[in-house]
Amino acid sequence: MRMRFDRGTVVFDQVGDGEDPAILVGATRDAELAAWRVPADRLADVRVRLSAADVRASDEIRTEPLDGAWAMPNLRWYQQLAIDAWRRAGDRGVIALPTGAGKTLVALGAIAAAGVAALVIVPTRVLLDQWARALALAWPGAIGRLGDGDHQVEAITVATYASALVWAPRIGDRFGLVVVDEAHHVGAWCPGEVFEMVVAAKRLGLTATPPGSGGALERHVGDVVYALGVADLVGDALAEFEVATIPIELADDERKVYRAARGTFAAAFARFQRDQPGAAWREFARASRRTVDGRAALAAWRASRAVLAYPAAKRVALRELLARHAGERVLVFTADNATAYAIARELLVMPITCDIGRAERAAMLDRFRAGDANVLVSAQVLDEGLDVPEADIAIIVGGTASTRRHVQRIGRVLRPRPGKRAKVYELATRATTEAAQVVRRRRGLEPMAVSP
Amino acid sequence: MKALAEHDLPWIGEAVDIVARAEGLPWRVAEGELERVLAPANALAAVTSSLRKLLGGRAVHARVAREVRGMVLGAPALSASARSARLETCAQRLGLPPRELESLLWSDLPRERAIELPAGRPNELEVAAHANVQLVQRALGRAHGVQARLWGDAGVILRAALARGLIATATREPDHVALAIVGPLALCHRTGVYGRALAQLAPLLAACDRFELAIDAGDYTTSIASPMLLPVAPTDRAGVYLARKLARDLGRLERTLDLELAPEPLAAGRALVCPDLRVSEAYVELVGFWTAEYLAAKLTRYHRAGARVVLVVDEARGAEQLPAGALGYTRRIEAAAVLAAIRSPTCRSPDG
Repeated sequence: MRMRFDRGTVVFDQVGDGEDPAILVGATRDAELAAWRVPADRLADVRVRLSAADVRASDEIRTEPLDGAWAMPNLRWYQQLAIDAWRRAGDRGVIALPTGAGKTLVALGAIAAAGVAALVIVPTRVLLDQWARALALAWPGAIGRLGDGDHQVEAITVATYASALVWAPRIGDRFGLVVVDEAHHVGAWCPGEVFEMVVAAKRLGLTATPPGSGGALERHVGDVVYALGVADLVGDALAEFEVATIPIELADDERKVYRAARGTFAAAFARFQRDQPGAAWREFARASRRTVDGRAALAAWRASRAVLAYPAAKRVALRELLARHAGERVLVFTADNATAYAIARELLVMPITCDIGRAERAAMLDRFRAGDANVLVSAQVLDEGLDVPEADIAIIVGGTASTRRHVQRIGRVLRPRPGKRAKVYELATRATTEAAQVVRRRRGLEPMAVSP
Repeated sequence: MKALAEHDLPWIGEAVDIVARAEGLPWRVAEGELERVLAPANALAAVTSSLRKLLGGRAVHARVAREVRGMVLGAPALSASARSARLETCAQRLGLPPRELESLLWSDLPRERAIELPAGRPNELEVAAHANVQLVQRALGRAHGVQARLWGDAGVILRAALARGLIATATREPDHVALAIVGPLALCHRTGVYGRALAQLAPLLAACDRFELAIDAGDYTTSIASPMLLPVAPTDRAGVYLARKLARDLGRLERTLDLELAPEPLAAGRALVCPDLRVSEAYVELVGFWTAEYLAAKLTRYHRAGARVVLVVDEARGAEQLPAGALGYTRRIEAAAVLAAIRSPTCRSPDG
């Protein structure tokens, strides 16, 4: 029997007389090739089975060697503990640390400890660049990049989720370790099949907000092996911070529009819930698009959100806060890109969104670091991972009830500096759904220490 | 899946009118209006996307918009006077009126850029044809595998499928070609990556005289068949990339060679073989991943089709002894070696 990697699968051919393909549990026959295939991530399991059954197989799958010495900076106490926990778990699992606690360093330590070629998968082009630069500081060889116009593969390669999906069928046999950043996206934004198409048995997930157990992340990467929350590291590895909620009043005309829109939506949604108890939002949206009333309900829902996104009082509050913190580096978070652009247009500040290209974004981040452009506004791109060490103030103009998103956003201003005390302002519109969202999302800031 | 047809043209016309009326306004304004058009949601999304694609315009403004943003955006302008002063200073530097400067700021961003109608109001039929490609793509993108019945030139789809890493098995029926297409990992379960590869075949369907697709999405099946409004099929460069390079090299080697890129597939009993190149009386097929059994079966099919063939095989994908009639290559296909193989007595001919 012979094993080779092909397009995200392991192919078994030359099956000899007396060799029962049933040993390849879950293998599928490829009639065209006259061979058997299993997803590439089953390789380690298949090797064990073949060995246990004393089947001699010609194994032609070799991951890339890693020649070179890492120049590792000193790790903090919890970073080393996290790596130790991951190694004890058989080089598999998820490490959860709050934003700003140095997850990248943990990954560098883990890759160095594993001593194998590694593919690092990140959600965005911004993070691709950031990771590649961080890895280049510690690894003497070239760093491969897949995404944002680059397609260079090396023993240490960084890829965006999207590029990893496209490239995994071609390069899935080259790495012994897969690191996934913002690992809570595995199974959704980062499809599970990326992990199925790579042979690497060693896997590391990094996140600030681990999802519950039993999901795609656990299946493809492993359990949470080490976790600390924001509250566990404040005053140590993270800056002290305070959160101030600023109540916002809608103007009369805004309130009228909001109530009318919310009323239309709520009535339709209540009817739907009566007819289909327990149905998800997606089903409501799908059903609503089929009828005139349903579309009106969806339009009303959007209208109500548009009122809350950036009403006049938020405009005033935002200006006041920016004036109060003039000269300080401020990150402004909005509910959507349209609001980010509205603020950018109004105040002539830079929006950082998915539409802004790499070179322009990098130039603006440099200006932000230099203090020349001290305010950035974003709906989502700044939520996760982006390394903005100099930011001290976060203003949340709009968002959702998501605790995950809230933790990520607050984490943007928690990178420590001597004497730093970060401030987070949440603008919350009174007597609307936003007030309840503020209460719900704060739960994400509670302690969550997990250390086996 | 329901393709857009003549009876959909009234609401498509309504959508086109909304976009035409919004000329000069940001796309997000038109998109808000478009949501009111009474049409199936997926069809409306496809029409909206087609309109954006047909009208284009992003690249034209990208450089200017970036330049303007770099100049205008910076520290917050917290008062109206500070804002106007900055805009005026920048406008003067660029020699533009401040108003125009402001409109240029976002002129390259998908939802923020202004709608332009460079060639006037788009035609409903053209919009419907492009939207149909998107609808077929969406259906294929969710597919596990596809069973296709193709009339006319099936080679285009077959080559395109193989070039995208899909497994394609062709069978010749009396008046059409039956093609079973599936991704390697999709043999195990439905995948996004091979769904995407399948979706890339959609624009090429127009190259066939007629087609029927049975799409298996795992939890449901759907079918698509011509006649369907579709734009003219584009040339699939990916499908013939290596063969085109080889043909060019062979042509340089011997100008008098009779070369045909992507010739018609050949019938081998009920099976079909799909050579990438015809060099005078012989055929060349480029083979990706292979097993010994796979090559042997292929050579037998060519033999049955009465054709002389050289299979050009990537040696990095296997370490076995190649059979007669197969030529190995590493990294680069040498045209001289291919020509020598075609002319050698070992080049498999109908009589062995």
